[in-house]
Amino acid sequence: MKVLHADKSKRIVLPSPVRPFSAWVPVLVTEKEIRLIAYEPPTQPGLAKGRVVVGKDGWPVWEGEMVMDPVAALNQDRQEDANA
Amino acid sequence: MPEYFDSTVAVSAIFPGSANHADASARLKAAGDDAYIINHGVAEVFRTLTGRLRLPPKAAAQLVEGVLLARFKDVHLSRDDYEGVIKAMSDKNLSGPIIYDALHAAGARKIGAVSINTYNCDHFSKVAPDLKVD
Repeated sequence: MKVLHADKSKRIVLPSPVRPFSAWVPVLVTEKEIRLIAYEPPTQPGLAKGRVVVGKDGWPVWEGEMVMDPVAALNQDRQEDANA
Repeated sequence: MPEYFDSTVAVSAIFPGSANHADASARLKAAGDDAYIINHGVAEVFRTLTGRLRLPPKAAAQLVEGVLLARFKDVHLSRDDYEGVIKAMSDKNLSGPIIYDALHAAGARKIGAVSINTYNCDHFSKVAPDLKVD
């Protein structure tokens, strides 16, 4: 456990959490002890990498990362929408 | 002869890396100018491209335009059609996302198709035993 000390102005300077939207969450352990927990939000998955190209059949297709099988994705999205 | 496609075949035609791509493409080519899909199917494909498949919205729109809108004819479902689908779901005691398959089945019946091009064959046996599934 890292002990933090106050500066001359009696302020405690915390190291900045690195990620955006992260924060220190104070948790009162006893009347004399507070612990600071670093909260980091879950990371959002980024967009799939790739581009639209004309496929061999003459219509546009996706060339690049395919995160999962499209039929499974469609059925899971349907289920998610139904549960929303 | 009108050929009805559900969203599973339409979305597979967009991904050359998918297991069903060759089959979906062959079916779509064979249908020529007689490929049909309901508008809900178009929205559903966009939703999945930008949802679980995480494509950028611009790319998804390009694909929907170039494949769904350019190669499939529209089957218009009216409010009465929706009412009929909901009543049929209730009569069969079916609930949840299977209603989307029931809407596709209604689209297929509306254009007089005898079968549905789909990869959700088991879903259609519940909502459309009157239609063949391919």
